[in-house]
Amino acid sequence: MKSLIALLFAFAAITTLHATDLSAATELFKQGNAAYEKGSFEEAAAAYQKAEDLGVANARLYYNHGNALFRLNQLGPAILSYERARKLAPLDEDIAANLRFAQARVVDKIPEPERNVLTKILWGLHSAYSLHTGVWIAFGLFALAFAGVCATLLLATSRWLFITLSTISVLALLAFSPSLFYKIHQQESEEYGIVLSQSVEMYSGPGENYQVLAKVHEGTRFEIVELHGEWLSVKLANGKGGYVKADRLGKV
Amino acid sequence: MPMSNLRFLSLPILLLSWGSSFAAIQAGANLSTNQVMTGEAFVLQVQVSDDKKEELPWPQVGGLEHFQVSKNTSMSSSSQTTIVNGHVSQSSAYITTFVYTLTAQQPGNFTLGPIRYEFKDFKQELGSAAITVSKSVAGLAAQSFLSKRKAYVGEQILYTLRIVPKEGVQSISLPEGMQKFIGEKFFFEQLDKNFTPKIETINGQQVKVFDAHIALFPLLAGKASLEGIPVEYQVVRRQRRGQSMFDAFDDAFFGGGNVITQRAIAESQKMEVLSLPPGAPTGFTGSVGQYALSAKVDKNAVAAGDAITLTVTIRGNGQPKSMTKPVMPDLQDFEVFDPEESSSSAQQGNTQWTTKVFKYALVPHRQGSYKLSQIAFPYFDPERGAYARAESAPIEIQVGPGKEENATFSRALPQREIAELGSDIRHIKTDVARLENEGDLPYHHVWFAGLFTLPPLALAGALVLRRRRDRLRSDSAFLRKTQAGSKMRRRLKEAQQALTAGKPREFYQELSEALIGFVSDALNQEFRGMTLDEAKTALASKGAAVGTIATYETLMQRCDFVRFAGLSASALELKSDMDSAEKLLEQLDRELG
Repeated sequence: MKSLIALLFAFAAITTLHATDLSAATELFKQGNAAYEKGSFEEAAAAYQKAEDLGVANARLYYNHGNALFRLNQLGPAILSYERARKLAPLDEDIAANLRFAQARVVDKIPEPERNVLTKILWGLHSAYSLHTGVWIAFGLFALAFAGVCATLLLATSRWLFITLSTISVLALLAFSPSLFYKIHQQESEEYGIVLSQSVEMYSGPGENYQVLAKVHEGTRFEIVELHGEWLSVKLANGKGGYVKADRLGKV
Repeated sequence: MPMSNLRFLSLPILLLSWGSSFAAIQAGANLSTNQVMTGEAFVLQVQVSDDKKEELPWPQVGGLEHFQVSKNTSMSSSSQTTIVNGHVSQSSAYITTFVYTLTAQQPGNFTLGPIRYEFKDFKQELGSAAITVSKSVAGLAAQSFLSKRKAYVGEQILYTLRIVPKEGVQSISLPEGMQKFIGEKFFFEQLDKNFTPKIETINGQQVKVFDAHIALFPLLAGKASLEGIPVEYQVVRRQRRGQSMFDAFDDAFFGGGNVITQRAIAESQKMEVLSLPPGAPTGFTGSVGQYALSAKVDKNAVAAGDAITLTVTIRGNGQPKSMTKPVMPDLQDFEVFDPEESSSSAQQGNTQWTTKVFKYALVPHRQGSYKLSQIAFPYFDPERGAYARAESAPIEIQVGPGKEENATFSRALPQREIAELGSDIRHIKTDVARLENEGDLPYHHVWFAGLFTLPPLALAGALVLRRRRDRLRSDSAFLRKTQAGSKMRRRLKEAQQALTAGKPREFYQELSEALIGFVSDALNQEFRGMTLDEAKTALASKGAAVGTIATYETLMQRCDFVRFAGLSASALELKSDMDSAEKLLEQLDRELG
């Protein structure tokens, strides 16, 4: 019993600390907004950065931070913030517009592989929700499927309606699951990086004595394949890969 | 190179008969020919016989420096059996052949030798041979011409390599890596990618010629020379072995000739490269030649903040690499993005012309009328010997009202993204009362896994509920037993109301009904109409405790006394009986379970 009480106190303490962080982050966020409105973009960026340093991941925070960095002509960091925001809120039009706007200024235009119509539609659907939302959608469908069965067992009327509801929920869950699991895989396994310095050399191996394959400029997006000490094995959107120094990229 | 046509001329031949003498080591040499043309290969062989199988050193051959040499070696063996006076003896010889394949580079008379062989105690002079190398004019003539002997740095000069082949010449080709022949002092572009023959009159005779044109751009001032560019070709040489009935077949058509790869080298050329005079204008990047510039916009009227595409085209015959961006006028009210470049080359006559197109995105900041003029490309005109500027005609642009603020990046930009640049980033989001940690994913928490167990638990509950309901419908005993408790509580409530109202008879009536009704429902047996003894027996048979049965009897007797015998009861007794009844019913509920 004593240990249970101690556990409850510990949980309460964690929750309280978390709530304090969120309050502090919100305050910093508001300070950043006020500075931005005054045109003090450096001050705004610093406030947003402090809020992020508290461990708060929030699409609005990242978006506003991206705006402040963009105003400071820090294209790479601005794109990194927009990418982070988009990851949390993929349907937000403002985030998508500003990301597009910033990406238009990136020197390297790397064409992504062409997709056919079906793949485009599926990819569009897959990209249309955040992982956070997806997890709750999955739970909702799961609960709805069981609720339908329960209602069928307990209610005397409208049984066919509940059977249909349950079946649709199960089918929707089955259809949705691959996308969700892929999203979880992307979240847990795939990492992306943005070039933060003006340019970065991509080598054929993890060292400066290797051949330089390409010079990639600020704001370009890489998929991070593997870490080799101070070097990252990376891949561009067009499939070309190489090694870059880890400290030149910001992880999304 | 076939060895059937060996000519042993001044070279002493020591090709020994291995059977005549069986000294430990013997050596000899032979030469395939001693009259060759430049580029023609011939072979020197030195053969050394040894009675042991051992690795032999290469011979010493003088005069090889006049030829291009490739070497290889091979070994063979032979054996011989001899019978002398009935005595049989057997011997073996191992013959190592050292092969020198030689190609003459220059015409002239050369001496190949002395050729000497030394190994252990063995020393032998194998002699020397005179080689006559004649110029390979018989198959093909290569001539070179320069359009100018004096030109400025960066000016285009035409270098023509004329090839005049004769009969039997085939497979003419220029060498790979022309730069090493042209030298580092020139940048070049080969104009004719494929050889096309044409007929020219030379010395009164119509002959077929191939002209290869190369555009040269001198890179350094001073004296410059162009080494002769070698032209490789193949020629079929007929072999004459005297008149015979087979002469008719001694033709290349029947495979009777040899295909020889030869090389003709055009003469070297010398020229003088002039340096550019001082006083180069601002923006001059080394373009020398004739240039023209034109500029146009995709629209002449826009709103402030909207993008315009300005296309500047420069065409010239100077070195392509020197054609960089034009000099733009000071466009203070415009944001100018780095241009998208494209380049193309075309041959017009014997001159190479390069066209470069620069597409700029211009975003005007303010409303007004503007004139874009003096978009220029400075160059040096070698014909006039002076610097010049290719300029565009003025372009008028009307800028209407619009959003002025713009971002301040300057990057290369594809055309399709210009629309994006015409606007600004969207404003920050301020509609947040409190930030949420959206990165905290629910599936990382144990409670979320627990949440997923709720629907299956609800289903299990629904199944139990459904089963109970079905049983209530079909099992009357279960129904009575299930409802016994609630019925009993309702009656006790009514008894309580009678108690409060001070109505003892009604109180005991309800109490009696509650007791009888409960045991009847719980045991699914009708107790009404039973004597007290029968009821006690029934309760005992269902497992009720003795004490419980006794309490039941006492209470039932009190109820009967008050109801039927008119016995009075005080308020305290009523309360006590009420409490007893409640306790009894609780016990019965437990014991009859």
